[in-house]
Amino acid sequence: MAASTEQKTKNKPKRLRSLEKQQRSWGWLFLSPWLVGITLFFVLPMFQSVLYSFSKILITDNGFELESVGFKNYLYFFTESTTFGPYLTETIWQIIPSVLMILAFSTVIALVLKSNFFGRSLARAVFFFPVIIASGVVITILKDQVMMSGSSVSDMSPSYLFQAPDLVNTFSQLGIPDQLLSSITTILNQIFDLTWKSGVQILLLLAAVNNIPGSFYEVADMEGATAWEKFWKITFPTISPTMLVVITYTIIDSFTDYGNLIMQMLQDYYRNNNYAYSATIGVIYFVCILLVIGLVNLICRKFIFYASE
Amino acid sequence: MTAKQNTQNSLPQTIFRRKLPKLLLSLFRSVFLLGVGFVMLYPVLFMTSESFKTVSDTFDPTVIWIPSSFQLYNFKMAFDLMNYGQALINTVTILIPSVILQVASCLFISYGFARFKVRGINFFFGLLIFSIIVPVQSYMIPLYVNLQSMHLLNTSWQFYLQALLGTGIRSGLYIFILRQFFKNLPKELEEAAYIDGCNPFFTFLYVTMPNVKPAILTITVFSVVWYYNDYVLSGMLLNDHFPLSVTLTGVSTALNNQLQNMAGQTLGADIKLLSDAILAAACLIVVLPLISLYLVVQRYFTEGVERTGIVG
Repeated sequence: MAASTEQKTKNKPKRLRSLEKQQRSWGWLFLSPWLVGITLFFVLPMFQSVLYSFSKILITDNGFELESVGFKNYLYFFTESTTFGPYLTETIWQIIPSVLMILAFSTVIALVLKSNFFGRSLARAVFFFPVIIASGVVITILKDQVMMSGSSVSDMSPSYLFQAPDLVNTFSQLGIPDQLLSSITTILNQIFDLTWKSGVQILLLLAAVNNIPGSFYEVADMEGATAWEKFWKITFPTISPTMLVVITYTIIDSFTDYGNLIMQMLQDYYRNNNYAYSATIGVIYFVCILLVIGLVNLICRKFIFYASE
Repeated sequence: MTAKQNTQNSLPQTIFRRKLPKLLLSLFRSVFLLGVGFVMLYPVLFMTSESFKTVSDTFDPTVIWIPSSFQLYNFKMAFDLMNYGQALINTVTILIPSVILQVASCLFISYGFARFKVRGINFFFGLLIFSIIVPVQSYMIPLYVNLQSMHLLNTSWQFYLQALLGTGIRSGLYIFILRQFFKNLPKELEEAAYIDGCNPFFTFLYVTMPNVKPAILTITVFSVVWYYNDYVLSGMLLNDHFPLSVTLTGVSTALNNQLQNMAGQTLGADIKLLSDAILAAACLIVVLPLISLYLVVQRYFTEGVERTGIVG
């Protein structure tokens, strides 16, 4: 008797699965362009790149030839190279505070922009601005060549937004210990960069915040919830999937930023036609990124709430 | 007696309790927004001011933001140096078809990721994440060689094809974002369509699509911006017909060469200052089409972000 009921309950999901199975072929149709594309333009080149990292590249008259050298390239970076190790740890350690700051900053901005106030549409237009310019070469040129070089008379340099010398002087006169001071100033000096890097994140979060139905808040108001409770019980769970996207995006964005030390190293090798070393750095680097993102996703999974599940 | 006291007390109390926090909040908000807004606009303001300056203006300590005279010499120099018209045409020929193909393909593919439990979907999703994470530079050379063997190198078709197959610039990211959007949509509407005998493709087209309009708009704006700004990929895969962004990377060196030639006659030691001003002008005219496009679309864009779907 017990066995038969068990069978019945077993049968039920099976029938449902057959509908799923029916749709599976449609799933393949939806995925098919991507499968072709990813094979042609990502998996194959990536595989070849990994091959490069295990070989020495000899440039001949018609293209180049590969000569297998085993783990020699990897050994170079982990044992001989004096800069790679420190650069890697520094890059990873830099990313953690900046991800947290960008997440907090963009959430605050999204929540501020959500409420109704005078001049809101103007404020929105301004806050999406970084999205337009920040990804381009323009900001790199501006930062590297024009603003940094102090194009006006030296002490009237308009680069003050990128450094905080006055503030540092004031703090040191106040007698704040040097270590604390240096960590404060690194954050202060990053404010511009962080603000500029959070354009996309603000956009994503704003879209998520606006998708929360107003009735949720109405109910909460009726029950007498405070703004603080409303944030943690309504806003936060509802936008949590987007927050995961934002966190992942920010991590990837900071890792693949051309300004960071490892990317510069990679590009230097690339420019000097040292493709094998460049490929090796690429391989080591994305293993690290994968680990970090995997870890973050594992931690965050607990806090994510999907409406459809 | 007590009631009277209450009414007497309540007027200043309500002001103190209700109006003051509100006033303080709005004051705080305006200061905060002004401050951050200035940081956001600073580079554009800086570029604009710098590009109108003459050499003497850059030396003059009284000139900080507004140049002493209005002159367009810097713009003319930048315009000629970049061959601006041609570069803009090159950008547009790559941009428009790529963006359309990319947005369409990303919507299609991400729906597949969000709604169907194909065998190995988790593996494919992992591969998707993987493709987002890996920097282009680490597989650039094999990609270059492969595109060469397909005879696509140095044509616009390589961008179109990659966009169509969901591997255009940052396509992986869009697929990821859209998948999240789709997953957050309730399944009930689609299930109703299935029961009525609609097949998944038309369900996707007629039921799901109208509900993700804000997402489509957002993705389109991103796509336009990144294709417009891309210089790494187009710089490596093209030999000529460079788009604006790539041209801009070369301006600095071209400028220095030209100014070195002119130096003997008029400029002397002021080369660096003049070249900065011209560089700023070049930057400004490169971002100008994007900014003006943004200002036109901006209203629909923010409205689109604002417009709620049927979520919840």
